[in-house]
Amino acid sequence: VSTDNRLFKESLRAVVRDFGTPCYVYFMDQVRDRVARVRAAFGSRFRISYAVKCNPNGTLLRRLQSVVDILDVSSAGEARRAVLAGWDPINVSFTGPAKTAVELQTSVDMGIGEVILESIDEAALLNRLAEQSGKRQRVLVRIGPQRVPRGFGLHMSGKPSQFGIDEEEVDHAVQAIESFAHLDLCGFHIYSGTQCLNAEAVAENYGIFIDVFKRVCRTRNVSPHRLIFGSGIGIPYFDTDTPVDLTAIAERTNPVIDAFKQDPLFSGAELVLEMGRYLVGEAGVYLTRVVRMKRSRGVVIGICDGGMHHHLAAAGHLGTLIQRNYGMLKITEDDPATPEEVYTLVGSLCTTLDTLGRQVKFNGLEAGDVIGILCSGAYGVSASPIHFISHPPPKEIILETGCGDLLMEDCSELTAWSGSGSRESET
Amino acid sequence: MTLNKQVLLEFLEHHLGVDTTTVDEDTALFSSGIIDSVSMVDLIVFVEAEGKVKLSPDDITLDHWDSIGNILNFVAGRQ
Repeated sequence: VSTDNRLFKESLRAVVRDFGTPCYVYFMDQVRDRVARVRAAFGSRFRISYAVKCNPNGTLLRRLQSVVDILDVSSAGEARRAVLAGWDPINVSFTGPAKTAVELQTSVDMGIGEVILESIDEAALLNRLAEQSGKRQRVLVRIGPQRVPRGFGLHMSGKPSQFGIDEEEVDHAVQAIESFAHLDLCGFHIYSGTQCLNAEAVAENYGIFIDVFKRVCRTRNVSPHRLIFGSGIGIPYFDTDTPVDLTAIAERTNPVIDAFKQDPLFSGAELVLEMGRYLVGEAGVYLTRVVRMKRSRGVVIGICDGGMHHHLAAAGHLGTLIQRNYGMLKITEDDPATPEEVYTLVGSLCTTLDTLGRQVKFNGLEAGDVIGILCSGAYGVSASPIHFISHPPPKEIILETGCGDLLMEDCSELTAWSGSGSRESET
Repeated sequence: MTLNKQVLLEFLEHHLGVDTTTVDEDTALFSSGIIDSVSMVDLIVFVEAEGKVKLSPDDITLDHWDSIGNILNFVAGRQ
């Protein structure tokens, strides 16, 4: 067991001692370190934008102010959360195919930096609202490219999609948007693939973005101020996954970017790398305690105090057809003499859907043991059905080094439904 | 058409865009990330039709679907 792993477990035990289970834990130092690595890899070529949808915790957003440059929000609610967390709305971009008139009006009123347009209809509506408010709104146009490289998981390219304007139709759309007097077209945005662990494919995708940006800008003779690249960089959720080689992505991408910036049409363009889970996913752990053990027809089942109502993705119900086990770690002390056994881990909910792990190996498991589910910093509690079966929501705890100590802060924001109360298990 | 290794390889190559040069019977398809959930759905629909089997949600597990060998074994057991 490495020192890092020992310290990691010790800090999680401290969280359990002070805050109980179930809870999410976010390691802020790890987020800072990840951003620093991205900046080191790409130098000053990209500014970094954080996709709030992957973890909208208010304390996290506040602390990200000194870490990333821009927030990308996907609703007026996320925009307000960003501002409540201290962000200047000028540094916020607003994406999403279903923005309503109310949300667009909110963007104009708040002074959102850029509204990312996903259709001509939306552009026309925003133009009218901006005109009524006597303002000009900065906008980018989201393009849905025709092609993504092999090696991407879920992606949206080349298929019918609600996102962005199809590459095939973008020239016409840009012409229309340019004609709107109250919109200021500042550039373009592409996010066509996500959760990719193949460095070559990620770099190839950025090359495709650049080709699309070049073609569109040259056709309409637009000199963009800003171009947003949806990073698509994945994290290793499962034991068969290999972490992506960030340096290899940068080595392939940097020369392409440098050549691109030589073109006078693009020399003034600010490039932005938009990323969510790559920044915070691995920095989060979900802690749940075994309430009871059961043997059933040859299988040993650990029944936990958390479950899919807190962590839908770990139960295999968020964007995957077949559940695969997240990395897991027993946080409570192990007796090294206990032989390794195979367990099924289930959550508290009265549905067979609530299975957190199948054939998970531990050196023994008993009631009271605490399990940490790794890679839980993104698409965790905010992407889970917390009210299902009226259990209380999980706590959220943020850990960060300050003055040489690891400081723990309860940053929970979710409130229980009336009556759902607390059901914390005893140590 | 009978379901066999060649038929599945051709489906992976031509319909799911998988580079099959390094795929054999034991290659993990889903857990390795070679195919994603969307492609897996297409593969399941194809196998259901070509293998003439009727599948239920309980049949959709890694044990049955993660490799060409697993798929052929599973379908053989169900025919």
